Amino acid sequence: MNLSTRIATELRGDRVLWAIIFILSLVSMVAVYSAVANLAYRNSGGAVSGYIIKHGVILGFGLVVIYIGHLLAYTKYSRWAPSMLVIAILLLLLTQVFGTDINGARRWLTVPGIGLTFQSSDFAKLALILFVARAIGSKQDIIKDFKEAFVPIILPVLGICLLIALSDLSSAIMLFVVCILMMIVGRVAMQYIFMLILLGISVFSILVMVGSKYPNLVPRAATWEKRIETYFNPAAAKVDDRRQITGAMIAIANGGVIGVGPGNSTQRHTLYSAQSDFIYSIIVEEYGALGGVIIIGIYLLLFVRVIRLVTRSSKAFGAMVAFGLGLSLLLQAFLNIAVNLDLLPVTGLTLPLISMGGTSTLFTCVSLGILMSVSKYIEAMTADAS
Amino acid sequence: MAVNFKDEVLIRIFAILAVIIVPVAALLVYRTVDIAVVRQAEFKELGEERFRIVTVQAERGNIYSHNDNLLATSVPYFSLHFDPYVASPRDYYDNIDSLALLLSRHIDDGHTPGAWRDSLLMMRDSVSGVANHYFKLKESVSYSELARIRKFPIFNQGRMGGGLIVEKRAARKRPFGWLARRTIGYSKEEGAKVGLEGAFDEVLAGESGKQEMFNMGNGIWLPTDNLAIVEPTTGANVYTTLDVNIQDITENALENGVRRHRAEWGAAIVMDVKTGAIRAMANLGAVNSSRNRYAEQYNYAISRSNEPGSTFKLATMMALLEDGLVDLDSEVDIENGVKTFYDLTMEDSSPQSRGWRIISVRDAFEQSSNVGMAKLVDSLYSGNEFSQRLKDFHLDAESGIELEGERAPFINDTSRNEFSGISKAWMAIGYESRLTPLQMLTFYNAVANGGQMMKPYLVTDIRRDGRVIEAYKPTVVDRRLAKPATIEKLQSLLEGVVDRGTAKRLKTDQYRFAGKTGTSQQNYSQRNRKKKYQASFAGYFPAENPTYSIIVVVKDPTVGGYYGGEVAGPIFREIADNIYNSMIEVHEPLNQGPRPVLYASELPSRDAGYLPELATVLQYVNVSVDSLPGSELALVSAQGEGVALSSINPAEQKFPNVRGMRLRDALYVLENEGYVVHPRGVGRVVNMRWQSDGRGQRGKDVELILR
Repeated sequence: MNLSTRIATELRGDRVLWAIIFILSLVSMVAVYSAVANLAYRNSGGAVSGYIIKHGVILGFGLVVIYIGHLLAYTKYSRWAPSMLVIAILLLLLTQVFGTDINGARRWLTVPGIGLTFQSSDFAKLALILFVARAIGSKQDIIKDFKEAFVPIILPVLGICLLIALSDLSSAIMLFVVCILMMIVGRVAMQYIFMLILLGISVFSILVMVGSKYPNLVPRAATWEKRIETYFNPAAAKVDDRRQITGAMIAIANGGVIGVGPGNSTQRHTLYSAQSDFIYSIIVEEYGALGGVIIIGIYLLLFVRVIRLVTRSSKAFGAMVAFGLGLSLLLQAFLNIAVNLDLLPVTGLTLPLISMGGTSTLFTCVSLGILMSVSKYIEAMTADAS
Repeated sequence: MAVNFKDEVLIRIFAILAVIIVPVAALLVYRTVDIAVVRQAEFKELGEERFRIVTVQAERGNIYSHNDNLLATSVPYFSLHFDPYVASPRDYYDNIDSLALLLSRHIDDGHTPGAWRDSLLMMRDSVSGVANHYFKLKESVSYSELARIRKFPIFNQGRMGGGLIVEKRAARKRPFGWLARRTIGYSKEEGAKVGLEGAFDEVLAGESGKQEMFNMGNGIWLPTDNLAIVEPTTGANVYTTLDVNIQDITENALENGVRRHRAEWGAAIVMDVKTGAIRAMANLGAVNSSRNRYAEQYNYAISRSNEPGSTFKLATMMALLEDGLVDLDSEVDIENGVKTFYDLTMEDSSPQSRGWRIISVRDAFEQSSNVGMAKLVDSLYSGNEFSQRLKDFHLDAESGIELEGERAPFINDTSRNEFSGISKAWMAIGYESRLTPLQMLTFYNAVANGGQMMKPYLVTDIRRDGRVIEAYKPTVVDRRLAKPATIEKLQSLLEGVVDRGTAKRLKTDQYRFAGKTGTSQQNYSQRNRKKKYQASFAGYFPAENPTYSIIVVVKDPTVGGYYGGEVAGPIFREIADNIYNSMIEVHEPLNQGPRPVLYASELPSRDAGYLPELATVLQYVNVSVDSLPGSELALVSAQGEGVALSSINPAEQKFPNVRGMRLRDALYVLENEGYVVHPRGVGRVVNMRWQSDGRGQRGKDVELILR
């Protein structure tokens, strides 16, 4: 048995998806190696090796997580979903009370004993998508019903999104959108969806208004306001606030068609979060618009492969989970790139699997593991059918 | 239901794809291409302000004296600023008290710790006003101070963690302070460049480099790894002919002189006779109208060109003797020291001249008779001959010193409108010509040097990284200014001035020197003004083997006389005396005299010490020693007509016995054994007192009684 067949037997599921995962990991290693320069200067006097080794270890561990995740039957995730949701709510509440402030946002929870920090919203996102997928899957027969289907699904969605929104509005909005799209695909009646979108917008507006009146109640409201103001009126923004986004623009412009080549980025030195939020612009600087388009293409391909899963899935839960997770990856990628391109205010969303980031990378990998589990199952089904 | 479940799902998915996903992806692609390709130039331009090319100043070279003392060097200092927003809140507020205390103690004790604490709090918490990320702590601290400040709480977190911003600057330091300040000079970034710093600015400055910097945000600029940078080249070192000791002597003497006489300014130059190397160049100008404070502000020695007066008579005599027109014993009628040439009356300044008619040329020079000199030149030269003679002696040529700002000399001649019938007569006594002190000295130095005129110079070589990149040799301007016989006569005249003439009060028994006094009225054209004089003395010493030539010029002395012999002469003497005393080579070694003879009763006894030294001393006083022991230390004891040396080794004793030793040997023995020595008195160790160690035993401290 040669190596490729061995790998083929070990890695079940869509080969294309596996390839995408490996390609993104490789891109991540190369891009982070270059982009971490600014961070490395600030924290370790310019030595990048420590960062790149740590990132490599996390990515390697993440691949193991995907592998293990895909070994499990995805139906298990369905069973775990409700309890995960409860844990998610508890964690979110805990974070609001005991969480660590980073850049003024209370998003991080430290696991006692081992000192590992993670964003509780990452976990909540996963839990909610699993829960919504399960709910949609189990209520397919009565899905058009308001009381029996819509309300039981939407209440946890609103609850979780609100809790996340307190500290991380962009993640909350993204998750909300993912859930809505899941519901649309899951055949929920469209009139309820429109109602929901209106509700979402009004709730957010109220939050901002309350926040500006009582800053203590919604501590992030000021940041939201500022970011939105900055976005709509760049001239009014302070130079410092525009610094990051200007840096990203310069980086992209430096890139041109084919880029300045690996390791030759200049803006990586000046961009504060080049290795996380702004890695896309560094990729474009080094590999050009071509590189950027390829990255967009890879994420798009990932989503197309996920849709292929959805269409071939015989079980509604599998289809919905795959759709939800795939969509959330795609949306996060698009939002991140949109920020890089000055199309959206700075959100703090990373480029999935490419940006450097400890636990958030691992949660991405858990998502991918579940996705691959679904893929493995569908492949087995089609193999049986034929 | 028209469509089944699966179809409904598919329709919705494709609707989402078509309505949301694909348009968004297209938008992202479009925007990427738009920024990166279509509007590339517009955005690239934004990036330029994030990068800048900075000039990296090269380290400026040093200036050294003749004896390798550092005259000017660049030392780094550091300016300190503080960004109060960098440190984490916990670090900041926890350490604010101790930081305030340390700031108050070490950085600015004008504020109490409490005041510092308040301003530290204000800096960070103040909501009004613009946040200051660049609070000035101190303009200049030394490296050692910086090392201590870096250890302060908060600051010890570094630039990124604590917010202490350190910027390196370079300051020019002159280890000898004001010594030769004007000759060393200075070079300002833009503007005045004077002295050696100015003249050698290019080699000292080196070549500045270029470095590309990028902005990290928060005002932090860091060098990029762009290799297309230019490394700065360190400036070369300039080694001068200046001698710190002679310069010090010269400046002190000159300052004493100008203060004593409340002069406008004074200049003194010391030149090495053989080479023309300038060993000292002092310039002191009054900085206030009461003339009690002087400073090196202007290089009078090279930039002030005045009518020299009687010191110029040396040139007159050189012309007369060289042309064979007179000899030293030729006679001249000085007409009681008063003579009218055409409409202008010339008088001798010495009252002695009133009683003299016919005297020798030698006397006329030594007594500095104006009438004598003027009559000789007026009668023996015609037309332009005299002026031409002076020009043959290079008196109209610049000295060519390396410094900027040398004033060209002036010698009147027939080609000029101002040349008149009386010009020759007045030129003979040092008027109608203008020379700087340095130009006059160059001429005197030629006479001292046996007729070989040397170009004065200040810089011997320029070295970079220890390698000589340019060396300046002594330059001969004129190998033979005049016949050797003429020079010999001139030297004897200058010696005569000191032995018998106008400078005889300056004579000293220590050494012989030669020179000429000079007094010139500077403002004779302004009839009704108070007369201003310039007193000068030029000469060399020792007379029999001229080593240094010196000129002293003092402008407008207002107190205590104005004659060269009264004002400039004593300054010359003070300089010469002190240089002479420090010239080891001219002094007789003390141990070359007859050796002492020791009588038996004077033979040393119980004298202990380092054997080779004892042997040397005994040999010197002719005391024979039979045999030398092989040890390091020895004991001398008298033995009949001679002495015996026996080896000793006190270090082996439990308590070393150093009696009979000099302190140096005793210290060597005792301290090597770990004892602490407390000497009392001077001479040889006659007694030792061991201190108790507190337990009734002898301790480690020992008192030595020396007598």
